[in-house]
Amino acid sequence: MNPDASSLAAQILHLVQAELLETGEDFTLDSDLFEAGLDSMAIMQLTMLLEREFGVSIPENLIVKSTFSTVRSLAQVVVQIGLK
Amino acid sequence: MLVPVIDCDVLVLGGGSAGIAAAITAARAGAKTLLLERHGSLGGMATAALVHSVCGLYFLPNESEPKLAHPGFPTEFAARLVSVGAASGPVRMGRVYVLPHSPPGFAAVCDMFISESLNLSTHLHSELIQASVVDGRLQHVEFSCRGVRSQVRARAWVDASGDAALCFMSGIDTYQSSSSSLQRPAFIFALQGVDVLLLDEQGRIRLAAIIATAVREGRLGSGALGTQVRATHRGSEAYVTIDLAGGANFDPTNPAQITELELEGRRLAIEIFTFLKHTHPALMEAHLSAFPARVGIRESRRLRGRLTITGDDVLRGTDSDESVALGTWPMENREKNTGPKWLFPRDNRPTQIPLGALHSAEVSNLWAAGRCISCDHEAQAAIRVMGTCMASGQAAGAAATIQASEDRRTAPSVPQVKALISKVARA
Repeated sequence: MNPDASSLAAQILHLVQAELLETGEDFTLDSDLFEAGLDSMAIMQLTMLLEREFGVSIPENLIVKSTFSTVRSLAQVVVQIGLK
Repeated sequence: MLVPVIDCDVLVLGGGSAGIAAAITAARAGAKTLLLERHGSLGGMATAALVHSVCGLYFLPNESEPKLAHPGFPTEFAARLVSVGAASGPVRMGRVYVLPHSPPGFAAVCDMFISESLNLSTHLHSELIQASVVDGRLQHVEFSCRGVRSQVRARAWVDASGDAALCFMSGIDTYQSSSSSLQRPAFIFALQGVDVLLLDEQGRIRLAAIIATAVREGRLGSGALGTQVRATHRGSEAYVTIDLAGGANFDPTNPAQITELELEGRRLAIEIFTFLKHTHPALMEAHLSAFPARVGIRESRRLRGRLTITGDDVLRGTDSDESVALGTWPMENREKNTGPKWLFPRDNRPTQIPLGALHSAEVSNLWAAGRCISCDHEAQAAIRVMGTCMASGQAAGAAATIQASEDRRTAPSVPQVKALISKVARA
């Protein structure tokens, strides 16, 4: 993962933990978010949070399970879209 | 005009999850019991607000198999729901287990329980209008059924009204959290004609995507964020749950505001449904088939009890010598209407509900059950769910019965309450 995505991933993890889900101590960038309790409603919240915190608008066709499967996958999508 | 007087041992105000548990427990324990309910059916939020799953019946999952947490009435009630086909489960949702139920089925099962119960009279369509406290004891109340008034004299009283209405009308102190922190209310409505196969996990994520982008682009109001649609797997039925914003100075006990909430709920329901019908394949042939009888208030007034459960107690799973019931739901914070924030207790430990949290600090024969027991705002986010309400209801009913039979100012003891719960338990 490139440096941009790494630091972004750490920030996203922090955001998820602060606003949405409680994750265990061994939760990593590659841990399954759905296993940790992420559901469709949380995806909606997370999409809006990413916009608020990072100015990024994930297009509708990318709001899919694979994007949100891990923090790493989400960070990679966000980097692809490009931060404003 | 003379107002007829009803004498009983225990009066339970409110026929929701907590009230039903309290009333059935008291009646089975031998108390002459009166249950008052202002709607036309029992069940509280499980029927009137179209809440469609019972939360808090099971321990938080430490093993793979769900385990029922509350011996006695909650277990028995859940089993009856399942046996008559009014519920099917438990179902795992993220990190919790719930029992999805049918609201009409829940109402029917409540009716079964009260019909089968000796020592219990139920008055529906009956609104409490007055309560009289003398020398630190609640002596009598008055209720009205569309203007036809009756007085009740009871020895012990259980406030299972959700809004601590009996406490409020008794003139005692109650807690209510600040407007900005109060849990936002839910508005739940029913759809028919849904293509349930298209509402699987992928379909729900698609729904989230459609709503999020539409709100972002201004095609849909932000009130739609946090909308959840779930197929019930009964025909083509689905329920839609939205959380309402509540506005500044939010106070769900204020008549003007609760009126606004109902209007806003229906307005938003129509806006969101109309939008989704045109944009999501699962809803293309659907229609809005039922509004709830009332908006689903999650948090309002609470008892000021001898003890108060704190958020810390919930998160630490603090032990208590005085425990008479358990809470087994995490903190589900809905201070914002955009969706919940979950906080789980250490090691998935249950919350201990002490007898003192059910007992008024001011009026010796007044008890509370359900979401209005004595707790702080943080703890309320965990204890308000229906499974926990049944457990605290059972305990309050037992406590009130003991007090009514002994008719002293000495509070019933924890061992007495627990023994009575065990004695009358049928599951």
